[in-house]
Amino acid sequence: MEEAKNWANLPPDVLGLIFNKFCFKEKLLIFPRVCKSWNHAVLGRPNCWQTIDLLDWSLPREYSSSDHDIDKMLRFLVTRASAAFQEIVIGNIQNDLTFSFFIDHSRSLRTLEIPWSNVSDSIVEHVAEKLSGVTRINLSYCRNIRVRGIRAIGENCKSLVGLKRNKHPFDISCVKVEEATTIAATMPKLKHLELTFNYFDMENVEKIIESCHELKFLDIRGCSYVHLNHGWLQKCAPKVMVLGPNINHRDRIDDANDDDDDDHNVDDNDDDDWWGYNLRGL
Amino acid sequence: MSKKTLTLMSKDKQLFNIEEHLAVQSVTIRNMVKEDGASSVIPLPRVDSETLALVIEYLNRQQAPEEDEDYVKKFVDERGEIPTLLELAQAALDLDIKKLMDAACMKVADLIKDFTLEEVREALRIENDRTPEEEKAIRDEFQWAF
Repeated sequence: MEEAKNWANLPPDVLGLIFNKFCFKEKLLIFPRVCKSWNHAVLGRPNCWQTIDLLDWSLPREYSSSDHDIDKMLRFLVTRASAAFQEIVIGNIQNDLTFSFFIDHSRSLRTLEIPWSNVSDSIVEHVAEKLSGVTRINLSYCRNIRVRGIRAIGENCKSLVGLKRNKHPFDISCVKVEEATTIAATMPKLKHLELTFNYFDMENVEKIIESCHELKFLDIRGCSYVHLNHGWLQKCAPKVMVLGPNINHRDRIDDANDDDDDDHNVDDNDDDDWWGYNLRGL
Repeated sequence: MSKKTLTLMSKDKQLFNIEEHLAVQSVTIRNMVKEDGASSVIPLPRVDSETLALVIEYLNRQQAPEEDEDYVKKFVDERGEIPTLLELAQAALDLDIKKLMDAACMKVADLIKDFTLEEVREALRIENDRTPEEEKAIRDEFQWAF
């Protein structure tokens, strides 16, 4: 190769591809600082920021990030990536203002995962209209979201195919079965549903399976009031893979993945993480 | 009917022959062939001869489709030098050969994965073009992430 070439002016398409292989923190702490033209190339390109996965960074158990940090970060993302993000995974959002500011500025959102967040029912109701394009939502361990929030999601996100609404085993604040009823009533397109450690019974499970015709995966581990009616399941829901209610029920995950490879159609390919029964962070 | 051959010219004016049915894996070349039959020499003003030789080697591969993914991976693995890979990625961009570009970029990302800021600059021979004040300003902007 010729004399030492300087790669400051790497074509943006090439830089973008390399950039997208990095995790959020590296994207932010390395690339923009290398030189001015890289800064311009990555911060100026909305498609560099379509997928934002900050779960590891924002988890409460790490105690590494404060409420203030998350607020600052979301504001940064909104100003840099404007409306471009399609997928956001961030835990531990502590206030409604941050959440609504963020949703107000996200026009292309398809996947919204905010486990362990403190956002309230009223703010979810307030922004739900703007979430109409969202197809997958993770509201696990969000203790302040109750049935009203779930109903607002169901009524507005008409294309919702995935819902994670797992509860913490020691969280007894969220007793009600109404959530299960609401899911059955408002989310008929669900394919993937996680409801671990909830307090409904087999009747609710039947209702959900009867209403969600496309359901393929139902996780009800830790839902100790459910006494599975295997006969009914085999007859009425042969295609639904049910995990639980036994909390140690993980052995079938591998089988399910095998099935997936064999007979699932191509359009699920972009959903690997979700449909792959990857239980990370849940 | 004999197989038709195309001639590609690198930026240092070296000529490379390649059979048309192999060359059209490049979307850029495919479009040229469609438009004017590409009878003459196709110039590639941003691709040097070393890189073009690699691209030609790649296009000439005789892999069964099911082994192709592995082949592309191995092909870039064997050229583990960052500058070579970046040249390759840039050539693949110009020629619109998506698989090769993806694989080359993926390999570069793997190679610089655990680099510090300074190491990235060094590997890509990039000078820091910010003043200390500008450095501080950009650091401050991301302060929350440190």
